[in-house]
Amino acid sequence: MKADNKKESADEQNNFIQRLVALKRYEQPDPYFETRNLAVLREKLSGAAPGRGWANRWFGWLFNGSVPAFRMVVVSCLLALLSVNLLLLNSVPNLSPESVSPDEGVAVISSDSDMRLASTNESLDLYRKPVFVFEYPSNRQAVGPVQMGPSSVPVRYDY
Amino acid sequence: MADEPKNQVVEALEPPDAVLVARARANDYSSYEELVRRYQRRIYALVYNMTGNKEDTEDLVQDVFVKAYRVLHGFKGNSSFYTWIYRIAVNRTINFLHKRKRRGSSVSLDDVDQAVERDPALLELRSRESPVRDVTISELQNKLNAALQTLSEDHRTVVVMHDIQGMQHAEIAGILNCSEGTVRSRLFYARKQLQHELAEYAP
Repeated sequence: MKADNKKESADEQNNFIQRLVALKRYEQPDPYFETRNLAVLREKLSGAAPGRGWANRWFGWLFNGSVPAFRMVVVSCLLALLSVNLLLLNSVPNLSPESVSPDEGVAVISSDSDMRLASTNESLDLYRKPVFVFEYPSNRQAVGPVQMGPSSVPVRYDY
Repeated sequence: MADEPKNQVVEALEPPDAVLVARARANDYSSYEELVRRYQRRIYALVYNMTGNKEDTEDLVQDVFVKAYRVLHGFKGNSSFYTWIYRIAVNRTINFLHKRKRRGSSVSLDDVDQAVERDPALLELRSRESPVRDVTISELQNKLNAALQTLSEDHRTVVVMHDIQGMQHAEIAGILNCSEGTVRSRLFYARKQLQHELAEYAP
């Protein structure tokens, strides 16, 4: 019985809130809204054909505007820029793996080379950097006692 | 049989949306204007109740109809023009509300029709033995607007469409592209929150 009453009261409240919110339908735009809206739309849409595709719209923008010459210059510049970029792109040497012979591009330096090891900033060849190779294989198993703390790690330089 | 000529007359005077859409696509702007005339008030009410600002609403309504005209070729006719334009309005308004959230909002409300004074809900409110009986229309309008603005965009959309514009669950589900169950559930939670916000007016 109590539960029924509670439900009834909740329904009543719900219903009243719904009716209260519905009062918002009495809020109306000013009486000139419709005329104003139609006039603005007419102005905005004058000359625009309905539902034209993007290509047609671009064409219209180019040739039907008030300053078509300026637009033509802008578009010509953009096209020229695009063409130059494409040409530059074609002049880049082909670096695909098939086009490089096996010996090409691989620097072979003997270990006796007296090349001075230097930091990258002092190096004459900025792109030839020493590679540090650790003497221990990475998957080595611990055979002796585990060494703790700082100590020297055997390392050699390679290129 | 006798109804046929009558229907033709009605159709000539008030052509269906589909006919107007076809004419508008064929570059007949006056047909599009007729469609605008038919739906601008409803779209206005939807956007206005969602934004709570009449200046923003006017701009958005224009934006909706301009957008619709520009993409009229994309309207396949699978749904009614009314559903389609509502969908555009809802999406654009929700996008606008997301942007507005970042830059802050202001309230500017429309005038209230004097017919509200005869509404049973208001009469019931004023017949109560409580302080709310002295509430002015303007106070109530501000309270209702503030309460609506506390809802999430999804919840506000269904409340506006159902409780203010009187649309059916199925119709709303079609516009929002969700199930009727989702619409009911959003309405339930929205009303629960509104009850909390408008507790002083509840019976």
